[in-house]
Amino acid sequence: MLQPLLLKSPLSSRPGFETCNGCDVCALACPVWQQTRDIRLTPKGRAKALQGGAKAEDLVESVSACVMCGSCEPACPENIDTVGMTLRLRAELAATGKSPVAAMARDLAEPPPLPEKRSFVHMKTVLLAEEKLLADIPTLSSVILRLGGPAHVVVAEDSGRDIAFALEAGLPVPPERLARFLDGLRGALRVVTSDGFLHRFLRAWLPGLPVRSIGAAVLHLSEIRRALRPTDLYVVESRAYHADFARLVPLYDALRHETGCSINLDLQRFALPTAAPSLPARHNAGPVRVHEQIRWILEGRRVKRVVVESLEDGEAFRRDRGLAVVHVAAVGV
Amino acid sequence: MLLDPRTLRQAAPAATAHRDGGRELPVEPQARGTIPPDPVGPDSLVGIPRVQTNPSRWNGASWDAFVSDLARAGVDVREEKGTRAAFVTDAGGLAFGMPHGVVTARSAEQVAAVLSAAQARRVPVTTRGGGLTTEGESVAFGGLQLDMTGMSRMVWVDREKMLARVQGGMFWHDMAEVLRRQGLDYISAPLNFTSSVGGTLAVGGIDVNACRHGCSADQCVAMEVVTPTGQIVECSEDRNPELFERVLLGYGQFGVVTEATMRVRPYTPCRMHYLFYDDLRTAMEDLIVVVRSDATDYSGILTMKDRANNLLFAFDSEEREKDFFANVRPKLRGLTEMQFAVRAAGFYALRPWRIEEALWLYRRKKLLLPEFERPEHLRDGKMFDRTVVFSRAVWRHWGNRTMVIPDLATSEEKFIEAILRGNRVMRKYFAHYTLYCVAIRLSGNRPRYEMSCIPPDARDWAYGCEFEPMFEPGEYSRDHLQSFKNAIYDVGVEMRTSYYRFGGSMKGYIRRVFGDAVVDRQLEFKRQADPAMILNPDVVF
Repeated sequence: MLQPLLLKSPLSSRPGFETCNGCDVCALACPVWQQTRDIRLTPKGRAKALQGGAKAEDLVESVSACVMCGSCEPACPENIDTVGMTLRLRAELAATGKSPVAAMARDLAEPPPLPEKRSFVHMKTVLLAEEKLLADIPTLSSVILRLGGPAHVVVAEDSGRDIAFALEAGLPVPPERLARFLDGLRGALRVVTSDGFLHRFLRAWLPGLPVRSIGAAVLHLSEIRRALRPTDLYVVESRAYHADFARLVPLYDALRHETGCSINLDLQRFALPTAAPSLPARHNAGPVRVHEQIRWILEGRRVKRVVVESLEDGEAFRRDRGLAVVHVAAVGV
Repeated sequence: MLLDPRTLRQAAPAATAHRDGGRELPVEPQARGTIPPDPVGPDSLVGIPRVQTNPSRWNGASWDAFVSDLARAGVDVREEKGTRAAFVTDAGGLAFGMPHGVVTARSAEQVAAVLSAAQARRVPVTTRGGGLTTEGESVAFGGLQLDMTGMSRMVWVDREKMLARVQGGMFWHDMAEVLRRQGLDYISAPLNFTSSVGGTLAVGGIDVNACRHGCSADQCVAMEVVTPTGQIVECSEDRNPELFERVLLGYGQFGVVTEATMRVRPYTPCRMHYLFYDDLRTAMEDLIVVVRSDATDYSGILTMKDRANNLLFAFDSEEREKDFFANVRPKLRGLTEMQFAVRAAGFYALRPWRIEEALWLYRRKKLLLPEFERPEHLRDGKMFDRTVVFSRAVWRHWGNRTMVIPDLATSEEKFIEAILRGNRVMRKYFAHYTLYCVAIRLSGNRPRYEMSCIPPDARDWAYGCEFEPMFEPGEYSRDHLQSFKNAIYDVGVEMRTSYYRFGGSMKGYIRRVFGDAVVDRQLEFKRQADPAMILNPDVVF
């Protein structure tokens, strides 16, 4: 059932693995490559193996290693749907019961109970907040405030997190479950999601409806920009950023020049992920270690405070380095 | 016994005939005792289509014993299809092979174990970094693929001496990512992101600043090399200098680079300038003026066909930029973009039958220019991360699953004529194409330059030109592509130039270009260094 979902996406009309010319540019942006230096585990490694006749079962290690940061997608000069390629391989493996990632997601991909009443979202900003944000009331209040205040913002009862986990793992999403989730968003002014992974799918499923990450939705506020300092490290949530790369590059480039803060971007302007929100990292599995990602993000940078768009990223920095961490929506409050 | 020619003539068979569609065709009688011209003599091949074939595949006779040897040495050989299939071809996409197994290199000791066992078991070992060869040089036609990208870390950076020690499989871009965190940059490297340091040192490495700094190999001050017999040797100009000179520009014949100490420099953004020419010769003449002046930090020619030629030059400092515009710019005949556009409009207005060409040039410009003017890499007129800008443009607009990039490397004296002749070949074979020309400053008369892309008659600077066809509209057959390559290389043979890509499937040109004396001397070195001839077979020898 994943396949129909992906086919609805404009991503699927893009070139597939057949087009890969083996340039390795995807690897340069890939955290799996950064940590393993094993080309087999990169999108290029998968594409070239598929071109050479390999099957999904031959690529279990590679397919499972991906943290779905999405940096390979804007990196690819051939515009290959690299994320879609890996998701399709995950779906093939999940269908055969040979996917370690699918096993990680089974308990997370349970749909939530039906809400008692449906929120009125017409011409409002709908915030899809994951559990950590829902549990962090001060930060949630700041986000709502920065998005326009309670009169203009609806926190969705159904955040679609189970759908995100299922998609990431290659598990099937029942069409009625997807329909229920999307029905709750129709008529909204815009959707702001704290889950970067859903970003690309929402844009495809709800064409015409603006979909934004929290960072991209609040960074236009001058009070936030004024409060950012050169000693801040601003951590872009990589999944949403790469899904909307062409539009967001100028935004963050302007932010960097205006505030002097450093950003977790590499020389190609791709976001270095902490990988903390990924399924493998949640289970401390796979080759990508969050600690190593954080070490690389911080290397050569003098940082006094970390400003995050994702609370999962923030928790990773706080736990690993004991750095002061603040959510972007709470900056300057 | 001497034969009487009259007897022979009498004995010659009568003229025969054969049928073609019922019509009898006369056949010239061939007198007995005379030898007809050799239809496949070397010089008669000029202009004749020749089919490219892969080298024969190694038979795998001692593979199992080799893998057992390596298992005992603690080296993991991956033989599953999913791994081997990732290495079937290179960036050229014309040569296809399949290794028996793959080892991802992790240490010099491991590489030594591999080569030592390979030498004993006579197993071919093909090294691979970024796999950006175009003639199958990094493709294993059986045997072991030694994937060097597993050795891809920065070892150390010495800011005082401005040196960096890197592992041989490291991509230049990964090196830049690490250096930039310290405000440093490498000096020069190929503009494609993913050439590996070791692979580049083995062939040269050309950047648009090679006119000032020389090729990448000339930035290397020391290396750790694993010889074909499995010895780990540190070499430099002072230490094992003979090995040092052989491995640099040695096309992977004399050792595997596991670490290299490279010169680095403080990072500076650069200020780019472009001049436009509708005449290729004038553009090349001006490139020579720019190079000789030594007033720019970067220079090169990038063309759209030969009607729109772009001389690019750039500066790391404002002082040099000012000096250049005061002293050199007045000597150049290039036009500004606006002047060029006006002139081109006039040219095509008088030649309406060439409107299609004009439209193609316009579309190409619209496509390419934004790539070089991306706002996130431009600020206050300066280009930040030029290697990212150029490399991305290269892959987006010239990358393809099949890449055919024959080249000519010449002395200054031969540069213009050779490239004009090569350009005529391009026009004959392709509707659209790009030429990319740069100069390479030489670092004296080094042994490393023998049998390399540096032609023996070059002094101070060598010049190189890549001839890159664009496969639009339509597709071209392998035979067409090979004939094109041969036609370019035939220019080199006639003019006694050199090439950057003379190995792999183009190695048939090596003796014709370099001559027997040089090739035999190199072959003797190779036999001494690699008795079983297992390291990178079919690349040169």
